[in-house]
Amino acid sequence: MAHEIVGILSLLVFVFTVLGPLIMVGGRRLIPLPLQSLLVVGALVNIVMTVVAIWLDGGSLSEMLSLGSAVGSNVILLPIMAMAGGFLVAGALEGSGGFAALRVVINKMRGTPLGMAGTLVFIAQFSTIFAMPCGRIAAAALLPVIITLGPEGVRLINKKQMVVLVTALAVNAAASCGPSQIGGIGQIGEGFLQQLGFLTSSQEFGIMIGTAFTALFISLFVTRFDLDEKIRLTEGRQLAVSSVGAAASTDTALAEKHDEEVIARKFKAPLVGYISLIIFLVALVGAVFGLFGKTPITTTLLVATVVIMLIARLSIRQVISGIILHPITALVAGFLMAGSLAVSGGFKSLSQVLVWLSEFKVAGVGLGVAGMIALFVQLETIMPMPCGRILAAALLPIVVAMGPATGWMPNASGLLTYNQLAIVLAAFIVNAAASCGPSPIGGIGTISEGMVRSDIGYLRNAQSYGIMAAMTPLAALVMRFLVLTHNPFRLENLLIFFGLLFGLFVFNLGMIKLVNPATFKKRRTPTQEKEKSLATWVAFLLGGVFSGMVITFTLFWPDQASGFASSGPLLVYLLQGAVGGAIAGALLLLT
Amino acid sequence: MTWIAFLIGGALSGAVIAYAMDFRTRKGLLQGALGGIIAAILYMIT
Repeated sequence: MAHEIVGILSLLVFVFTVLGPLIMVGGRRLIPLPLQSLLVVGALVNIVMTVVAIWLDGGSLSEMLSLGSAVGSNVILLPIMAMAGGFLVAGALEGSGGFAALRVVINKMRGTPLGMAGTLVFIAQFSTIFAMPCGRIAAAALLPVIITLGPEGVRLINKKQMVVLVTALAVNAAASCGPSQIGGIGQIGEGFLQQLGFLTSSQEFGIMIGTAFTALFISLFVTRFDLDEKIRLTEGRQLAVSSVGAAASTDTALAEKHDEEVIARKFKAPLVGYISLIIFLVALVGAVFGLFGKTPITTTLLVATVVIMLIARLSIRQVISGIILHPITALVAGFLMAGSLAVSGGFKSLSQVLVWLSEFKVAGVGLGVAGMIALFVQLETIMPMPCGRILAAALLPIVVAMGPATGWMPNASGLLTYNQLAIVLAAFIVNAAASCGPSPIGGIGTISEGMVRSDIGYLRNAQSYGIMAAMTPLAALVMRFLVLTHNPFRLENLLIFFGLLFGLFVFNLGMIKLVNPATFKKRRTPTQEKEKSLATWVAFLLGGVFSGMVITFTLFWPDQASGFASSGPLLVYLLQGAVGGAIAGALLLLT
Repeated sequence: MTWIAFLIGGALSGAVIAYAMDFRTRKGLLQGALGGIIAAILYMIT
């Protein structure tokens, strides 16, 4: 009995530690402690409560003493080592000029058929192409490029373009730690499924499209008034002055030539930088494709780091400076909290809460399993942490516990089959990884907000929308129709996939365009602020509904040949998913 | 199948990002789509 009560109490401690730092009272955070510290304190509280429960239930002293090792055993070293390896190679690249070489390459792209538009698209998508264990690495490497091109640099892009670009870059960089093969969050899920690389393409596809939806949302929702009043970045001079005469055109040509010279001076890299970049790419591609036999990725990265160190004559201090402690401590704190919940019975209680949520009904209508999952996969962005690993490490065992019982998860509830579990994991993990973008407590988005000098949280809604309406459902869609059911090839699956993909595009483009607040009036008044708020609510609710329905469809569309047996009326599931998605959309705006 | 999906998705997302950044001429949208396709190919390779 005491164990059951402690299980519920430890769950409440977990919720309090997670939500506490997000709650603002009188303009200040309710708990002004770093989240990691709070999680460790919460874990200690849970352990103490568990000791009391063991004592009250008449347990032995050895049972109490074994709690420490039980919690500690939950700290999984592999992702921590892989992440540290990724950071070391990043440090070597920074020290040797590898990132500087990368900036030169990107800058040169403007002169190719890609032009400025294609180059900016490439920059927005870059972080996930070469996914690091933490998106902050790529963001830190790319931000100087954007600053230089922006209105306070050489003004090749204007203020609005910079706002759109830094928002898209933030969400892409944040999400990139999901599919990263060098210590990404996805590898934890792949470990549970026992298939390395199984969740990569689904997450990448979701991120690719989600980045575009984020860009579209911020583009339509950042109005002229906001650009003037809320974005304090200076505007810079306009480039297009050809209409005022030949003299002005000559001035413009001279100015552009001067700009290019400034850019060329700013973007320089030593030869060793290019060599180290090539070494890194060979190591990354070789590790991903298994070109070096069964060598672990961490070992490959460390060898690449040593080679770069030798070529560029780097000191150990220069390489170690690449390590960002924040994600590592986040992972350890999350694992400790997960361990404390495991020993206190918190996971068991949460599983019961989820089962209760799926069975709860009002007037015969309830969320069901479909609605519960449509809501649950969005949980990390609803409670955005500065690092997605914090909650992912604690919550992933709960997701796995919804799946079939296995030797290492004997108490799993069996709500989902193995295939359904893989779909839920793909959606949950990409959502978790991306959640550090819109986090107002030190997320990657706050760096972008600092760059354009907007209020903290101004860019949050666009990122949350992209994650909710595109990344999460598309990861599920790809997992179901391209990864799980690709062999043997069936035209039906391809048609369903592209039908839903285009449906998602048409729905979101149409809906965002329809509720676009900029179409109300050109100037913004207090009344129009309300209209913008209303438009945001409509977008999030409808986006949530569509997202929930897509996720539900991927889980329950019957296809016996692919291992998806019919388990009930699909329409009911879709409605439940829609309600769960709408609740998720509302919570995203409320928290 | 996955390659086809990524190429089409890359082109669409690139064009949408270009549109969002006010590159709304045919040339701008095509350049955006091209950037998206290159990104998609690299997504698949790396």
